[in-house]
Amino acid sequence: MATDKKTIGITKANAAALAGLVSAGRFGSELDAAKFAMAYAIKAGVTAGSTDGAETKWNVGSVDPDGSMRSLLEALCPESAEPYRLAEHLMNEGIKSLAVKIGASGDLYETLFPAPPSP
Amino acid sequence: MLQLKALHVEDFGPFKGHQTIKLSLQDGVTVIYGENMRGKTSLLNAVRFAFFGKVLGRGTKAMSLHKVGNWEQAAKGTYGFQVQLEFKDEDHEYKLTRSCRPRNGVSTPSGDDDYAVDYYLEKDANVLGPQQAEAELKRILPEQISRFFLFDGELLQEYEDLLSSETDMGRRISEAIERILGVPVLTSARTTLLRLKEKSEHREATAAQGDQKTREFGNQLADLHAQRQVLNEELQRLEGELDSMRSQKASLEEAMKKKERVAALLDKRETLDRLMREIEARRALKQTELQQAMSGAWCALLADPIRNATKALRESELALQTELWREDVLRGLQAHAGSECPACLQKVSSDARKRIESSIHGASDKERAEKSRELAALRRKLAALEQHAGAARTDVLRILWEAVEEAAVDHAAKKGERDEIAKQLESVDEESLRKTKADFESTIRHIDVLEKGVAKTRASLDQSKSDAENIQKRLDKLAGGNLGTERRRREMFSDLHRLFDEAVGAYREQLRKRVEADATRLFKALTTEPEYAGLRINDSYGLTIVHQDGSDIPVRSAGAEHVVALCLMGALQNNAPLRGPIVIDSPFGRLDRGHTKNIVRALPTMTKQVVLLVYDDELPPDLARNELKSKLRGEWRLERRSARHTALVPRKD
Amino acid sequence: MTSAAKPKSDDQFQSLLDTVERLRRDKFQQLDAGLVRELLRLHSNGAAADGELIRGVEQAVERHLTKEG
Repeated sequence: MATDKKTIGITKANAAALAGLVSAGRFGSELDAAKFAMAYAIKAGVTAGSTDGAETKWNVGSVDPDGSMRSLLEALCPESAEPYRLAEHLMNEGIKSLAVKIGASGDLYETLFPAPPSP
Repeated sequence: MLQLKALHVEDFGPFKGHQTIKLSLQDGVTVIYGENMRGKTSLLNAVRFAFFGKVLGRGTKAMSLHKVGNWEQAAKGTYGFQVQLEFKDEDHEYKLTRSCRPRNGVSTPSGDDDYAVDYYLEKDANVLGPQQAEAELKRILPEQISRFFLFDGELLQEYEDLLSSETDMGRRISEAIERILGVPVLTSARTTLLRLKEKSEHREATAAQGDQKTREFGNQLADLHAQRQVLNEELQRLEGELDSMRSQKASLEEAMKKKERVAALLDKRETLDRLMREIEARRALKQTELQQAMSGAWCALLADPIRNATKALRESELALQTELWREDVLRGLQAHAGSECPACLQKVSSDARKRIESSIHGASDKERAEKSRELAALRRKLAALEQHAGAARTDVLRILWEAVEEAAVDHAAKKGERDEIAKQLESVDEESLRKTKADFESTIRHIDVLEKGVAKTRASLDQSKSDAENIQKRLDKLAGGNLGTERRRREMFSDLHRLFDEAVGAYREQLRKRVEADATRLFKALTTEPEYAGLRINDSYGLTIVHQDGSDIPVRSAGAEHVVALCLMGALQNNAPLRGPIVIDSPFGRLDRGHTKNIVRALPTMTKQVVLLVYDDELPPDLARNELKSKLRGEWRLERRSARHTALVPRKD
Repeated sequence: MTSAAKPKSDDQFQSLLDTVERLRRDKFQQLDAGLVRELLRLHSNGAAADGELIRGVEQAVERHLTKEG
């Protein structure tokens, strides 16, 4: 069994986008924004993979103090053996696509509160 | 009467170069059309400058002459301007030329001090000497009454002040009205006679001093006359000061009126600033709450995957659990061989027992432990899913989010409003606004002090006069020396003074009646309201609209104000010895078509020569032509050449 | 500087004179109508200086007093 990561990082390319997400004022911290990005990536269908070249940003202990995130990831992405590596990948992927999306629509509102499908 | 023949302007306002407008001497109206900012007010000012050397901004404030010259010419280094007015008065031809040029040695003027204003007046082609020219101009059109000949809508608005005796503007206008109506002839006669009466009283007292019998009374009277002289001088000084303070108050009042709008804007800006601070605080608070709530927002995104995963895991959990329970039951049955089945309480047959044994044959303890671990892991995941599903409160998030957005929108709206006000206030000197207010208050205090001083001096004067009268009565009983001649002279001056004193009141009363009658006649022609019966005049020539049931119409609009003011103008022109042309700038701006039509039709009856400065929408050319018919004497147009260059051209369409 | 060629101004003079004359007739018969008219005429010339006016009025009254004896 491979060893999962003990830290989570963000690539240089995504660091600016993450900072941008936070400076828009909706998130209280970069970690909140990164988690949001992670969820965004899961919702977009990413369930596996890993990101190379991420620069350490957090210890998993501070990202997931009670381990519940790990359990959640295991539940949502059962084929992944290393949930934190996956989390890191999801965060980076999410940041990348959010940056594209936010660049276009300018706001997270529609992402967060999608309009109900019209009848 | 004064009639304008031509106006030549050179680099005056937007009128670049030398331009001329010719006016017909036949009775009627000349209309000059010009859109906003083309130079209508400049044209009115050109006439004003020619006569009085002054240029007025909006209302009655004098404008800097440095700003009057044409800007395009100034940009090329040519400063200054000139106006020449050709007119006729009592069969004499006049040409008045007034120029404003940079002083010698000034190449680039920067303020009014850098200019010199000069004028000369030609009468029947002879240039008059400076004193003669000044006297002629004063006679032809005294500046104090110019308001009845050269005016705009704002000046018309001022006539409202005549209705309240409190304002100094009202007092000033009343004085101007009396001046145009000739009352000063009587008041100046009264003043002359009063001075001569006092002089004759003193002569009598001096004569009395020369005789033994009357010396005592003569001495007393002479003393009292000396005292009266001192008190009179003091009263004159105080009244002069009071007069100048009152005009100062009137101009400050005027300035404050103009700044009222600015003061209101300043207040509004302050309110908006406060509101913006409050909204910003509210937004910041909501933002913090939102940020806290956003730490769980990621779970909200995963609501669907969590629900799906939970459903799948629950199914696996149930299957696994069932499997384990089944094994437990079977093991129980095997362990307690021969006993009854716990579910149906029947004996377990040997066949059944064999089947049980074969089914639990493959399930080792190790396998069972593995399954239990699997179940525990499954439950851990389910707990995690449940925990995160609980964190996904989009409803709360949405409320907070919307509160933040709402505050931001609110803030932006207020900021927009504030920026708009700030733009309007850009050129406003707030310091000068405060100063005007302070000056106004100090002027009011000064006036109060002066008024008390005047009252006190008057009382002393009255006392002195009554003392003198008592002694005079006693002296009257005595005779001697040449007292008789002096007494006759004194009595005559005294009678003459009383006669003219009473004449002032009687004449004023007549004038008011005549002005009221003429204004009413005009008003009935101008108003579109059939229930209005006429106008009623007050002591200061203020006019109130009267309803046919005899009651006063208390409030009137700006439009009605203009109509009433025009009636007063017409009535004054009709009763004044001094008649002349009326030059009006944009008088119809506040009036509807009905009133505009009536006024245009009535204008030729108000005075012989009228020059109207209007914009097309205010007075459409067709309307003017239809209403004036043969009384339309000329149509001109202010044609745009550039933002700073307007050409005066005859209108032909 | 009031000239005879100013009919409107004469109208006003007449109107002022009518008012003064009516009062004189009613309440000041001891005053001479010609003198009153002369004094009014002197004052209807708006451009005259104060000193000039006073002298003019004084002379008119003196002439009248002398005539009366």
